[in-house]
Amino acid sequence: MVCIDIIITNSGELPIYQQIVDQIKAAILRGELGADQPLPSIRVLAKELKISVITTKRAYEELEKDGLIYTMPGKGSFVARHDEHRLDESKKRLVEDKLKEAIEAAKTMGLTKSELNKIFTSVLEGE
Amino acid sequence: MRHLLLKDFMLQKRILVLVCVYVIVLGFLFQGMTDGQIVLAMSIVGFILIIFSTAWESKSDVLWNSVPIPTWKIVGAKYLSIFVYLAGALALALLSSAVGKLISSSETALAVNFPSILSGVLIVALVSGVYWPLYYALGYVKSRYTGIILYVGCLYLMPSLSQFREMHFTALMMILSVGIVGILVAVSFGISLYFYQRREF
Amino acid sequence: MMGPILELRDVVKNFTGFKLNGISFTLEPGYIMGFIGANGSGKTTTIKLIMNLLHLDMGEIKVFGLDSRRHEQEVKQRIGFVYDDNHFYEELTIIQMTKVVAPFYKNWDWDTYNHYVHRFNLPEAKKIKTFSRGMKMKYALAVALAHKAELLIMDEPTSGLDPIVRSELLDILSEVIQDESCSILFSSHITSDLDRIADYVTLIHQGNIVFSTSKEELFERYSVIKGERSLLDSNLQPYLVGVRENQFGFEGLVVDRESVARLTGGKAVLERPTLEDIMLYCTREEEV
Repeated sequence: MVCIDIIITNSGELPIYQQIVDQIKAAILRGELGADQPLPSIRVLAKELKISVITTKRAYEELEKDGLIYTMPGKGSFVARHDEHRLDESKKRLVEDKLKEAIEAAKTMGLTKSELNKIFTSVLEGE
Repeated sequence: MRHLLLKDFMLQKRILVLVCVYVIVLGFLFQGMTDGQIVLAMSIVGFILIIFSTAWESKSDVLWNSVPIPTWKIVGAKYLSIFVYLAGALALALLSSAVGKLISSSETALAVNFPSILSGVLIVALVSGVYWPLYYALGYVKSRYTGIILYVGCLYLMPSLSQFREMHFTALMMILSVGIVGILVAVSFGISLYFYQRREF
Repeated sequence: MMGPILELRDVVKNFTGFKLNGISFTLEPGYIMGFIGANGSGKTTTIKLIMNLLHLDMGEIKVFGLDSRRHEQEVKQRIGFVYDDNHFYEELTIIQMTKVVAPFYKNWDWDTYNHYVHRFNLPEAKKIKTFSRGMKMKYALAVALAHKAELLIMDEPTSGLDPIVRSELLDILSEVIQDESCSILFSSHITSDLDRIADYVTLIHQGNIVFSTSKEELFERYSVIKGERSLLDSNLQPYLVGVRENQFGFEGLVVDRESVARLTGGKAVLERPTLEDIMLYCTREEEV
């Protein structure tokens, strides 16, 4: 079975189902949850988190709508597979957008390509 | 239904022990007793059994009406329990009477005075027949007082009944009286059931 | 089994001084419904009507799709009950008591019963009158679960119990509904117990159902608002379900959190309500 941590809080405005959606989504994006890995059943999740099964059901429905998980009747819910490609794509796109921003900023300030490259390498190695 | 009788038995253990002692002593004395005294003794036993069979039931109605038991079994068990215990008491009395006879090697015949024993049983049946419908109609608390009034009334009637006993009993009369009381008890059961089913808890 | 496991329709019951005014609600199989309301609001009356301990004046009650009066015995075979007060014989031990009750249930399972008795550490050879309140409730629960009840009806099972026992009970209940073969109707005036595990909530007040809906829906519908009294203007009124002013500000219950947030310009605090908040403000509104 899957080993992820889901921490929910009663205080604050975020509805509990949304907290669950966010945390599972993050775990999938971080790669902690691989494709076709089974998720806990809505009832087990509800029992462990001490919340209503309707809440967990709703969270799973949202995740399914977003294409992050899929459900097989009688068998449970699993992390979706084909979205890995999409996930990779969106991850890459995010980084691309950020780099584009940096390049635009460099252009307006009149930096050359090799100067930009030097800055990029030193920042990367600094990490 | 036998489990309901079992329950009564478990609840009334202490009372039953007292009754047993009482009955055994009675048995020894059976030969020396007049018919009237035998009837009286039996009715006392019967009455004690009736009164104490409801002593513990103050909250149990809610239980029995939540468990899947038809109401006729609940009411029927109470009626039956009196006669079951009475039969037991009688057997015990006869046993101790026989033992007593053996010990004292008395010349008198075995005191199986059937008519008086039968009258005792029938009186108990009649008293139950009147008491139970009141109990099921009024509930535990109120019927307690009516029960006592009934018994006192019976005691008052007793002397006149023993005069009645001077008459010669034929088998036909005995069968007839059993039949009549049987019908009365059945009617009483019907009335009790009616009241109980209408009660709210 | 399709269809709701419990269905009340226009149930009316008259007493002198109190009346159940045609109440209706349903419970779908596999869920826990919290039945909340102040003392005297009609919770116990409703439960007694379901169990046929009180007789309906008007309306209809269906359990497992069967009429509760016409199929009384069959219905009771499949219902487990835990009441507020102990109705078992105090003079008997639980061994004796169970021996008397078990034979009436067709689906009685001694293994299940013994499992719970040992799990609850109930002394088998001591008279019930020596049991604490919590132990009596656990015994009733053991009996209720031992005959594979499909509907568990609990009337204020936690009142008078300490928080530890209450938490134990809630854990067991959430275990019990795991396989969806059991549904639970849990009445309580201690709403904190239901805040966590209830799936659905029905609020009854003075003999009327105020609402009967999922807890999710309630927490989405309502928010607690806290702020300065100056914010209490006519613009806010239509969103306000109930309000309480004090020396330092006001507190209330509102609907449509987003509109209210915009209206107050972020100057008011908006929080998720507890069932207690909802119950308090909704019933005060009823009184107004």
